[in-house]
Formats: sequence, structure tokens, C-alpha cells
Amino acid sequence: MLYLVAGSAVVCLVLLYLQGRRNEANVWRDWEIALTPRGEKALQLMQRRVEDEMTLVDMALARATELQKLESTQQAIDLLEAGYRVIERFAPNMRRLLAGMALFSRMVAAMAPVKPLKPRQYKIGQLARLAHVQRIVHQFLVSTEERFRFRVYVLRYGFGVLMRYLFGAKERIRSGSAASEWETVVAVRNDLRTLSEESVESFKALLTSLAAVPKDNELILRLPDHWE
Amino acid sequence: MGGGMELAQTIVGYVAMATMVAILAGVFRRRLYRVCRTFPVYVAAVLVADVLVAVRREWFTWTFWMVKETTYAVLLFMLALELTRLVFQAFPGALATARRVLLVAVVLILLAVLSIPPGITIPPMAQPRVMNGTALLFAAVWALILWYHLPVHPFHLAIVQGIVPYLLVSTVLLRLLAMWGIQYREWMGLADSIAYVLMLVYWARAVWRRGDPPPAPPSLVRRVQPWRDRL
Repeated sequence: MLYLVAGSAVVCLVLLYLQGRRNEANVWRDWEIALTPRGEKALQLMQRRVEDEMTLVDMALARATELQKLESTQQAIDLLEAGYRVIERFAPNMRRLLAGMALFSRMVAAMAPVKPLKPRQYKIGQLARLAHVQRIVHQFLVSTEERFRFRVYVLRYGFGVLMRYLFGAKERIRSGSAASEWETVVAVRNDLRTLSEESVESFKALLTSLAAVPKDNELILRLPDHWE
Repeated sequence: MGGGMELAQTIVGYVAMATMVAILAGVFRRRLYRVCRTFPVYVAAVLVADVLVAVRREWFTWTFWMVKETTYAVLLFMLALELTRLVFQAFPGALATARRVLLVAVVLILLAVLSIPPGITIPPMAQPRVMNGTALLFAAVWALILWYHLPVHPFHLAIVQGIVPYLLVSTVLLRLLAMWGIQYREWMGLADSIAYVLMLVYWARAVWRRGDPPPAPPSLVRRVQPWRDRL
């Protein structure tokens, strides 16, 4: 009984803390996104912006590795720096987008199914292991919502791992300690593309699920003329 | 019981009754009874019981206490059910989870009450269990609101935010009373009454507060909270 009371008190404190962090205006804004066509367009716009940033990062990293092969080391390092600066801005946006997707997945009535991640597509060992774990856990989760959320959490964590790898490689390349670090940059570029593609796939599943929710304009169409 | 303690309890009791009157007045003034019917019934039930005890101290018998506590428990359970229906009705996924969670909570409360060893007087043993269970019931509703990111009417949120901490404080006090002995009964009773008054003051503030309209298009508000039109 004492443990139950102590546990309840902890639960209460956690709830109070979470409630304190909650912003009612943001809650309404998120439901507006989920339930109105305007919100769906805003989500698609956000996704396109993230994709554009991803293309920029990819171009910068690809050009940096090409220049390094041509032995224009300083130029390659400058481009790598530029690519890192873009990814520094892009990764948090992507992580926020994924966190938003996890949130929206709780708001839809039914979630479209998603496929598990493919470990073989990842070059960085930690990400490949993460994908393996995701693949196994995916089989044990019962509902499509849980599977979707777990996939999104793993992707979100994956972007964090990539950031750390790229930062480490960039620092070592700049200090000139290991030329082989360029292989890490190539691996990061590959995995960044894979993670982004997987994120887009998750995003499409979410949009499909959101599309199944009747929108306000559809609701009006189904109502009789004299409806107020 | 010392004179000072008796005076303190009397003062706290009258403050509680005055606050309950203020709550009921606010509920009717702001027409909040239209968006939660059980709440004014619960507050009125507590007020009536308190007034009866204040008027005639000798009415405070074992049977009276039993009836009073059972009524409160039933009304609180009805309040949790009504809040669940109002908050979750526009969200089928969340509503299904809420129903499951409520069922589990009710089963746990029943098991907690039924697991009292035979030969022990049930009501005093059962009360903290029912209270803790009710607190968990409301906490579950609150957790689901946060998890599903649901927009809530400030009045509904205030009910949950007030009752969960109070019920937990009350359960802890009952537990302490059981551990430390009956000689602390007055102190625990006073502490419980003060916690109850704090909750009532919080509710009174929420009831009388003029709320802003939700920051969303009216069509969305109508869809998510269809009962808002009743206000």
C-alpha cells in the first residue's frame, strides 16, 4: 500500500510537470493541422522544406568528397564545413518534424501500416544495429500506431547519431589526423539519405492516415443545407 | 481535543462550506453545469453533509459516515466517467484507450477492496484504497489527455488538476494515521481539511474565471468539443 501511495505521488508530480509544459494554444494549432485541409497543406510544405535542406546537405557532402578525391583538400574541408552547417540546421528540423509525426500518430483514429527499417541499407555500424533492433521490436508491437511511433523514435535517434558521427569526422579531418575519415563522410551521406527516405515514407503513412480523418470541408458537404 | 484545534477545524470547516457555496454559485452563473452535470451534484452532496454535521454534531454517526463516503465515491466515479465522455467523445482512438484504462482502474479498485483480509473492519481499510483508486482513475484520464494531446475545457482540466493531488494527499494522510496511531487523528483531520479547502479554492477560481474562447476556428471547436454550444 505504501509503495502504491508513493508511486501515485510520483505519477501526480510527473503529470503536474507535463501539464506545466503543455501549451493549450499549441494543442489547438496541432488539431487544426490534423483536422483541416489547411493544416495538411502546412505539413506538406514543412516536409518539402526539409527535403530541400536535405538536397543541399547531400550536394555539399558529395562535392566535398569529390574534391577530396581530386586532392583539393582545403576546398573539400570548406565544403564539408558548409555541409555540416546546413545539417546542423537541418537535423534539428528533421528531428522536430519526426517528433511532430509521433504526436500526430496519437491524434489519428487509425494509422496506416509501415514497414520495418532495413539494416543492410546503413553503412554506419551503430545505425545498422539500431535498425536491427527496430526490426525485431517491430514484430513484437501489436498496433500500427505503436509500430509507427517506434519507427519514428528510431529515425529521430538516428539523426542524432549521424550528427555526432559527422561532427567527429569533420573535426578529425580538419586537424589532419586521419584522411580515412572521408570514408565516414561518405557513410554519413549514404545514411543521411536513407534516414531521410525512411522519414518521408513515415510521413506519407501519416498523411494517408490523416487523409482518412474527415476534414471540415468534407463535413460541411455531408451536412444538410439548413445546418447551422 | 484541545480548544485551539477545535476552533481551527471549525474555521476550516466554515471556509470550506463558504467556498463550496461560491463554487456552486459560479457553476450556475457561468452555466458550467451544462458541460459537467455530476460536478455540481458532487459539490452539493459534500456541502449538504458538511452543513448537517455543523448543525447537528450528533448526526455524525458511523452509518452517516459510511453513507457519506459511499456517496462521494460513487459521485467521483460518475464524474470521472462523465469527464471521459466529454473530453474523448470526438476522438475515437483515444476514447477506446480511455475505456480500457477505466475498466482496468475499476478492476484494480475492486481487487484492492476485495483483498482486505477477513476479520478486519472493511470500511476504514477500504476507504484509502478506494480513494487511491479514484485518484489513479482521474490521473489516468489526465495522463490520456496529455498523451493524446487533447484540447480540454479549462473547467474540466481544473476538476482533474484539483482532485488528483487532493486525493493523493488525503490517501497519504490516512496511511500516516494508520502508521502513527489514532492519537494524531485531529492533526490528520485538520491537514486533510486544509488540503480540501485548497482544492475548493482552486476550483472556485477556475469556475469564476472568465475564460477566453479557444484559439481555433469555430468549426473546429464545434467538432472537437460539440458540447461547448451549450454554454
